[in-house]
Amino acid sequence: MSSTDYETAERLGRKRARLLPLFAILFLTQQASYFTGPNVDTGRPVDHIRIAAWLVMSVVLLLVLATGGGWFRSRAVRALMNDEATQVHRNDAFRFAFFAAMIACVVLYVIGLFEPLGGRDVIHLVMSCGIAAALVRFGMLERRAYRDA
Amino acid sequence: MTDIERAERMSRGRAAVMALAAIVLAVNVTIQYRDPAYAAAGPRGGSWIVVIGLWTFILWNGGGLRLRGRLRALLNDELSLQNRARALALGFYAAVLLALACYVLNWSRAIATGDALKIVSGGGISAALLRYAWLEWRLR
Amino acid sequence: MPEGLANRLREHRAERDLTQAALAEMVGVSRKTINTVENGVFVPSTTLALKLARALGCSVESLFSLTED
Repeated sequence: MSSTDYETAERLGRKRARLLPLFAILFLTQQASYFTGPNVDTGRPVDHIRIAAWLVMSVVLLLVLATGGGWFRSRAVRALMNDEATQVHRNDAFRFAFFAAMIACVVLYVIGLFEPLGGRDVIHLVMSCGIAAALVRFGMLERRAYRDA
Repeated sequence: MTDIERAERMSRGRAAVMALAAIVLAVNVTIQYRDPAYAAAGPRGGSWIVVIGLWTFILWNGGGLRLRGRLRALLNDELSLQNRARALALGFYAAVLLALACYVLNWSRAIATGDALKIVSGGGISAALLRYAWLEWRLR
Repeated sequence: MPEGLANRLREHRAERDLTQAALAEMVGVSRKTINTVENGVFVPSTTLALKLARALGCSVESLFSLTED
Protein backbone atom coordinates (compact mmCIF):
# COMPACT_ATOMS: atom_id res chain seq x y z
CA MET A 1 0.00 0.00 0.00
CA SER A 2 1.33 3.42 -0.92
CA SER A 3 1.25 6.58 1.20
CA THR A 4 -1.32 7.93 -1.25
CA ASP A 5 -3.60 4.99 -0.42
CA TYR A 6 -3.41 5.87 3.29
CA GLU A 7 -4.08 9.54 2.64
CA THR A 8 -6.98 8.70 0.30
CA ALA A 9 -8.46 6.24 2.81
CA GLU A 10 -8.12 8.82 5.62
CA ARG A 11 -9.83 11.50 3.56
CA LEU A 12 -12.63 9.24 2.34
CA GLY A 13 -13.14 7.76 5.78
CA ARG A 14 -13.61 11.21 7.31
CA LYS A 15 -16.00 12.15 4.52
CA ARG A 16 -17.99 8.98 5.08
CA ALA A 17 -18.23 9.69 8.82
CA ARG A 18 -19.62 13.18 8.09
CA LEU A 19 -21.97 12.14 5.29
CA LEU A 20 -23.68 9.09 6.75
CA PRO A 21 -25.73 10.96 9.38
CA LEU A 22 -26.65 13.49 6.66
CA PHE A 23 -27.88 10.65 4.46
CA ALA A 24 -30.03 9.52 7.38
CA ILE A 25 -31.61 12.97 7.60
CA LEU A 26 -32.17 13.09 3.83
CA PHE A 27 -33.67 9.61 3.87
CA LEU A 28 -36.06 10.44 6.71
CA THR A 29 -37.01 13.73 5.06
CA GLN A 30 -37.90 11.81 1.92
CA GLN A 31 -40.13 9.57 4.03
CA ALA A 32 -41.82 12.62 5.54
CA SER A 33 -42.70 13.86 2.06
CA TYR A 34 -44.00 10.37 1.23
CA PHE A 35 -46.35 10.37 4.20
CA THR A 36 -47.53 13.96 3.94
CA GLY A 37 -48.05 13.85 0.17
CA PRO A 38 -51.05 12.38 -1.65
CA ASN A 39 -51.77 8.67 -1.35
CA VAL A 40 -49.25 6.83 -3.54
CA ASP A 41 -51.64 4.01 -4.44
CA THR A 42 -53.20 5.93 -7.32
CA GLY A 43 -51.18 4.14 -9.96
CA ARG A 44 -49.97 7.32 -11.65
CA PRO A 45 -46.50 7.18 -13.24
CA VAL A 46 -45.20 9.82 -10.78
CA ASP A 47 -46.23 7.57 -7.89
CA HIS A 48 -44.34 4.66 -9.39
CA ILE A 49 -41.28 6.89 -9.67
CA ARG A 50 -41.58 7.98 -6.03
CA ILE A 51 -41.83 4.40 -4.85
CA ALA A 52 -38.99 3.31 -7.10
CA ALA A 53 -36.86 6.19 -5.78
CA TRP A 54 -37.43 5.07 -2.21
CA LEU A 55 -36.60 1.46 -3.07
CA VAL A 56 -33.44 2.45 -4.91
CA MET A 57 -32.32 4.77 -2.10
CA SER A 58 -32.95 2.07 0.52
CA VAL A 59 -30.97 -0.52 -1.39
CA VAL A 60 -28.09 1.87 -2.13
CA LEU A 61 -27.86 2.99 1.52
CA LEU A 62 -27.89 -0.63 2.68
CA LEU A 63 -25.10 -1.46 0.24
CA VAL A 64 -23.08 1.52 1.48
CA LEU A 65 -23.55 0.32 5.05
CA ALA A 66 -22.70 -3.29 4.23
CA THR A 67 -19.64 -2.57 2.09
CA GLY A 68 -18.40 0.73 3.50
CA GLY A 69 -18.56 2.49 0.15
CA GLY A 70 -15.55 3.48 -1.94
CA TRP A 71 -16.72 1.16 -4.68
CA PHE A 72 -14.66 2.80 -7.39
CA ARG A 73 -11.46 2.92 -5.34
CA SER A 74 -8.60 0.46 -5.32
CA ARG A 75 -8.73 -2.66 -3.19
CA ALA A 76 -6.00 -1.26 -0.95
CA VAL A 77 -7.99 1.89 -0.21
CA ARG A 78 -11.18 -0.09 0.42
CA ALA A 79 -9.30 -2.43 2.78
CA LEU A 80 -8.05 0.55 4.79
CA MET A 81 -11.51 2.11 4.86
CA ASN A 82 -12.95 -1.16 6.16
CA ASP A 83 -10.28 -2.22 8.60
CA GLU A 84 -10.75 -3.82 12.01
CA ALA A 85 -12.20 -0.81 13.82
CA THR A 86 -14.66 -0.04 11.02
CA GLN A 87 -15.88 -3.63 10.96
CA VAL A 88 -16.59 -3.44 14.68
CA HIS A 89 -18.42 -0.14 14.15
CA ARG A 90 -20.46 -1.67 11.34
CA ASN A 91 -21.53 -4.63 13.47
CA ASP A 92 -22.53 -2.27 16.24
CA ALA A 93 -24.52 -0.14 13.77
CA PHE A 94 -26.42 -3.20 12.51
CA ARG A 95 -27.09 -4.27 16.08
CA PHE A 96 -28.58 -0.83 16.71
CA ALA A 97 -30.56 -1.02 13.47
CA PHE A 98 -31.97 -4.44 14.36
CA PHE A 99 -33.34 -3.20 17.67
CA ALA A 100 -34.66 0.02 16.10
CA ALA A 101 -36.49 -2.01 13.45
CA MET A 102 -37.94 -4.44 16.03
CA ILE A 103 -39.13 -1.61 18.26
CA ALA A 104 -40.71 0.05 15.22
CA CYS A 105 -42.44 -3.26 14.36
CA VAL A 106 -43.87 -3.59 17.87
CA VAL A 107 -45.04 0.04 18.06
CA LEU A 108 -46.66 -0.10 14.63
CA TYR A 109 -48.22 -3.47 15.43
CA VAL A 110 -49.86 -2.01 18.54
CA ILE A 111 -51.10 1.02 16.63
CA GLY A 112 -52.30 -1.27 13.82
CA LEU A 113 -54.53 -3.17 16.24
CA PHE A 114 -56.58 -0.03 16.84
CA GLU A 115 -56.04 2.19 13.80
CA PRO A 116 -56.02 1.23 10.11
CA LEU A 117 -52.48 1.33 8.72
CA GLY A 118 -51.40 0.42 5.19
CA GLY A 119 -49.09 -2.58 4.79
CA ARG A 120 -46.67 -0.67 2.59
CA ASP A 121 -46.70 2.35 4.90
CA VAL A 122 -45.58 0.31 7.88
CA ILE A 123 -42.82 -1.31 5.86
CA HIS A 124 -41.65 2.15 4.84
CA LEU A 125 -41.51 3.17 8.48
CA VAL A 126 -39.79 0.02 9.73
CA MET A 127 -37.13 0.14 7.04
CA SER A 128 -36.63 3.87 7.47
CA CYS A 129 -36.12 3.45 11.22
CA GLY A 130 -33.67 0.62 10.75
CA ILE A 131 -31.62 2.17 7.97
CA ALA A 132 -31.53 5.62 9.58
CA ALA A 133 -30.49 4.13 12.94
CA ALA A 134 -27.65 2.22 11.27
CA LEU A 135 -26.44 5.29 9.35
CA VAL A 136 -26.48 7.54 12.41
CA ARG A 137 -24.80 4.98 14.69
CA PHE A 138 -22.11 4.09 12.15
CA GLY A 139 -21.46 7.75 11.42
CA MET A 140 -21.24 8.61 15.13
CA LEU A 141 -18.80 5.78 15.89
CA GLU A 142 -16.60 6.66 12.91
CA ARG A 143 -16.57 10.35 13.86
CA ARG A 144 -15.63 9.49 17.42
CA ALA A 145 -12.79 7.36 16.10
CA TYR A 146 -11.34 10.33 14.21
CA ARG A 147 -11.56 12.60 17.22
CA ASP A 148 -8.14 12.99 18.84
CA ALA A 149 -7.78 12.59 22.59
CA MET B 1 -19.52 -28.91 38.85
CA THR B 2 -17.32 -25.86 38.33
CA ASP B 3 -18.61 -22.55 37.02
CA ILE B 4 -16.84 -23.17 33.69
CA GLU B 5 -18.60 -26.52 33.23
CA ARG B 6 -21.92 -25.03 34.32
CA ALA B 7 -21.56 -22.13 31.88
CA GLU B 8 -20.61 -24.55 29.09
CA ARG B 9 -23.74 -26.61 29.69
CA MET B 10 -25.94 -23.52 29.88
CA SER B 11 -24.47 -22.17 26.70
CA ARG B 12 -25.34 -25.36 24.82
CA GLY B 13 -28.82 -25.30 26.36
CA ARG B 14 -29.27 -21.70 25.30
CA ALA B 15 -28.24 -22.53 21.72
CA ALA B 16 -30.77 -25.37 21.59
CA VAL B 17 -33.59 -23.22 23.01
CA MET B 18 -32.82 -20.43 20.54
CA ALA B 19 -32.87 -22.79 17.56
CA LEU B 20 -36.18 -24.23 18.71
CA ALA B 21 -37.62 -20.76 19.34
CA ALA B 22 -36.64 -19.68 15.82
CA ILE B 23 -38.53 -22.61 14.30
CA VAL B 24 -41.58 -22.05 16.53
CA LEU B 25 -41.60 -18.36 15.62
CA ALA B 26 -41.46 -19.10 11.89
CA VAL B 27 -44.24 -21.68 12.21
CA ASN B 28 -46.36 -19.17 14.14
CA VAL B 29 -45.96 -16.52 11.42
CA THR B 30 -47.18 -19.09 8.89
CA ILE B 31 -50.13 -20.26 11.00
CA GLN B 32 -51.25 -16.73 11.87
CA TYR B 33 -50.99 -15.46 8.28
CA ARG B 34 -54.38 -14.12 7.16
CA ASP B 35 -56.08 -15.49 10.27
CA PRO B 36 -58.49 -12.76 11.46
CA ALA B 37 -58.42 -14.10 15.02
CA TYR B 38 -54.79 -13.02 15.34
CA ALA B 39 -55.32 -9.65 13.67
CA ALA B 40 -57.81 -8.18 16.15
CA ALA B 41 -56.99 -6.37 19.40
CA GLY B 42 -57.20 -8.98 22.12
CA PRO B 43 -55.17 -11.74 23.78
CA ARG B 44 -54.37 -13.49 20.49
CA GLY B 45 -53.55 -10.31 18.65
CA GLY B 46 -51.53 -9.00 21.57
CA SER B 47 -49.59 -12.24 22.14
CA TRP B 48 -47.29 -11.42 19.23
CA ILE B 49 -46.11 -8.29 21.01
CA VAL B 50 -45.12 -10.35 24.05
CA VAL B 51 -43.30 -12.94 21.93
CA ILE B 52 -41.34 -10.38 19.88
CA GLY B 53 -40.64 -8.26 22.95
CA LEU B 54 -39.34 -11.27 24.87
CA TRP B 55 -36.97 -12.53 22.17
CA THR B 56 -35.75 -9.04 21.35
CA PHE B 57 -34.96 -8.59 25.05
CA ILE B 58 -33.09 -11.91 25.18
CA LEU B 59 -31.12 -11.09 22.05
CA TRP B 60 -30.20 -7.74 23.59
CA ASN B 61 -28.72 -9.15 26.82
CA GLY B 62 -28.03 -12.81 26.02
CA GLY B 63 -30.29 -14.12 28.78
CA GLY B 64 -29.31 -15.62 32.12
CA LEU B 65 -30.34 -12.55 34.10
CA ARG B 66 -30.97 -14.58 37.24
CA LEU B 67 -27.46 -16.01 37.26
CA ARG B 68 -24.60 -14.94 39.52
CA GLY B 69 -22.20 -12.34 38.12
CA ARG B 70 -19.31 -14.70 37.30
CA LEU B 71 -21.51 -17.37 35.74
CA ARG B 72 -23.31 -14.77 33.65
CA ALA B 73 -19.97 -13.30 32.55
CA LEU B 74 -18.81 -16.77 31.44
CA LEU B 75 -22.07 -17.35 29.57
CA ASN B 76 -21.69 -14.01 27.80
CA ASP B 77 -17.94 -13.97 27.27
CA GLU B 78 -16.04 -12.23 24.46
CA LEU B 79 -16.76 -14.90 21.85
CA SER B 80 -20.44 -15.03 22.75
CA LEU B 81 -20.74 -11.26 22.43
CA GLN B 82 -19.07 -11.42 19.03
CA ASN B 83 -21.42 -14.23 17.96
CA ARG B 84 -24.41 -12.22 19.10
CA ALA B 85 -23.26 -9.16 17.13
CA ARG B 86 -22.88 -11.28 13.98
CA ALA B 87 -26.29 -12.86 14.56
CA LEU B 88 -27.99 -9.50 14.98
CA ALA B 89 -26.41 -8.22 11.77
CA LEU B 90 -27.86 -11.22 9.92
CA GLY B 91 -31.20 -10.63 11.64
CA PHE B 92 -31.24 -7.07 10.34
CA TYR B 93 -30.42 -8.19 6.78
CA ALA B 94 -33.18 -10.82 6.97
CA ALA B 95 -35.71 -8.28 8.27
CA VAL B 96 -34.84 -5.83 5.49
CA LEU B 97 -35.03 -8.46 2.74
CA LEU B 98 -38.38 -9.69 4.02
CA ALA B 99 -39.62 -6.10 4.24
CA LEU B 100 -38.61 -5.45 0.64
CA ALA B 101 -40.24 -8.70 -0.47
CA CYS B 102 -43.50 -7.81 1.31
CA TYR B 103 -43.37 -4.35 -0.23
CA VAL B 104 -43.03 -5.68 -3.75
CA LEU B 105 -45.54 -8.52 -3.24
CA ASN B 106 -48.07 -6.00 -1.94
CA TRP B 107 -48.49 -4.74 -5.49
CA SER B 108 -49.91 -8.03 -6.70
CA ARG B 109 -51.65 -9.26 -3.53
CA ALA B 110 -52.57 -7.17 -0.52
CA ILE B 111 -50.70 -8.10 2.66
CA ALA B 112 -52.35 -6.96 5.87
CA THR B 113 -50.41 -4.64 8.16
CA GLY B 114 -50.20 -7.12 11.00
CA ASP B 115 -49.07 -9.91 8.70
CA ALA B 116 -46.37 -7.74 7.13
CA LEU B 117 -45.05 -6.76 10.55
CA LYS B 118 -45.10 -10.37 11.73
CA ILE B 119 -43.19 -11.52 8.67
CA VAL B 120 -40.54 -8.81 9.10
CA SER B 121 -40.13 -9.08 12.89
CA GLY B 122 -40.57 -12.85 13.06
CA GLY B 123 -38.24 -13.43 10.15
CA GLY B 124 -35.60 -11.06 11.51
CA ILE B 125 -35.65 -12.53 15.00
CA SER B 126 -35.73 -16.13 13.71
CA ALA B 127 -32.71 -15.47 11.53
CA ALA B 128 -30.82 -13.88 14.43
CA LEU B 129 -31.71 -16.71 16.83
CA LEU B 130 -30.74 -19.42 14.34
CA ARG B 131 -27.45 -17.74 13.50
CA TYR B 132 -26.59 -17.23 17.17
CA ALA B 133 -27.51 -20.84 17.97
CA TRP B 134 -25.39 -22.10 15.07
CA LEU B 135 -22.36 -20.02 16.01
CA GLU B 136 -22.58 -20.97 19.70
CA TRP B 137 -23.10 -24.65 18.97
CA ARG B 138 -20.51 -24.99 16.23
CA LEU B 139 -17.69 -23.29 18.10
CA ARG B 140 -18.04 -25.15 21.39
CA MET C 1 -13.46 -8.12 39.78
CA PRO C 2 -13.92 -6.43 36.38
CA GLU C 3 -10.74 -6.10 34.27
CA GLY C 4 -9.84 -3.24 31.91
CA LEU C 5 -7.10 -2.83 29.41
CA ALA C 6 -4.40 -0.21 29.77
CA ASN C 7 -2.15 0.65 26.87
CA ARG C 8 1.08 2.56 26.44
CA LEU C 9 0.87 2.73 22.68
CA ARG C 10 1.02 6.53 22.55
CA GLU C 11 4.14 6.65 24.74
CA HIS C 12 5.98 4.00 22.72
CA ARG C 13 5.00 5.69 19.47
CA ALA C 14 6.18 9.10 20.73
CA GLU C 15 9.50 7.60 21.88
CA ARG C 16 10.17 6.48 18.34
CA ASP C 17 9.06 9.84 16.93
CA LEU C 18 6.29 8.31 14.82
CA THR C 19 3.01 9.93 13.86
CA GLN C 20 -0.21 7.94 14.07
CA ALA C 21 -0.29 7.91 10.28
CA ALA C 22 3.23 6.53 10.04
CA LEU C 23 2.49 3.77 12.55
CA ALA C 24 -0.76 2.98 10.77
CA GLU C 25 1.14 2.62 7.53
CA MET C 26 3.65 0.28 9.17
CA VAL C 27 0.95 -2.12 10.41
CA GLY C 28 -1.51 -1.78 7.53
CA VAL C 29 -4.50 -0.16 9.23
CA SER C 30 -6.07 3.27 9.06
CA ARG C 31 -4.87 6.12 11.26
CA LYS C 32 -8.30 6.15 12.87
CA THR C 33 -7.74 2.63 14.20
CA ILE C 34 -4.45 3.67 15.84
CA ASN C 35 -6.25 6.66 17.34
CA THR C 36 -9.06 4.54 18.81
CA VAL C 37 -6.59 2.02 20.27
CA GLU C 38 -4.56 4.81 21.90
CA ASN C 39 -7.70 6.40 23.33
CA GLY C 40 -8.81 3.09 24.80
CA VAL C 41 -11.99 3.12 22.72
CA PHE C 42 -11.09 0.08 20.63
CA VAL C 43 -9.51 -3.17 21.81
CA PRO C 44 -7.31 -4.47 18.98
CA SER C 45 -7.31 -8.08 17.89
CA THR C 46 -4.35 -10.29 18.87
CA THR C 47 -3.05 -10.01 15.31
CA LEU C 48 -3.11 -6.24 15.37
CA ALA C 49 -1.55 -6.11 18.84
CA LEU C 50 1.31 -8.32 17.65
CA LYS C 51 1.79 -6.19 14.54
CA LEU C 52 1.94 -3.05 16.66
CA ALA C 53 4.49 -4.61 19.00
CA ARG C 54 6.63 -5.72 16.06
CA ALA C 55 6.43 -2.31 14.40
CA LEU C 56 7.49 -0.58 17.62
CA GLY C 57 10.17 -3.14 18.42
CA CYS C 58 8.78 -4.07 21.81
CA SER C 59 6.73 -6.83 23.43
CA VAL C 60 2.94 -6.93 23.45
CA GLU C 61 3.04 -6.93 27.26
CA SER C 62 4.90 -3.63 27.29
CA LEU C 63 2.17 -2.12 25.11
CA PHE C 64 -0.94 -3.58 26.74
CA SER C 65 -1.68 -4.69 30.28
CA LEU C 66 -4.68 -5.59 32.36
CA THR C 67 -5.95 -3.18 34.97
CA GLU C 68 -8.11 -4.23 37.86
CA ASP C 69 -10.79 -1.96 39.28
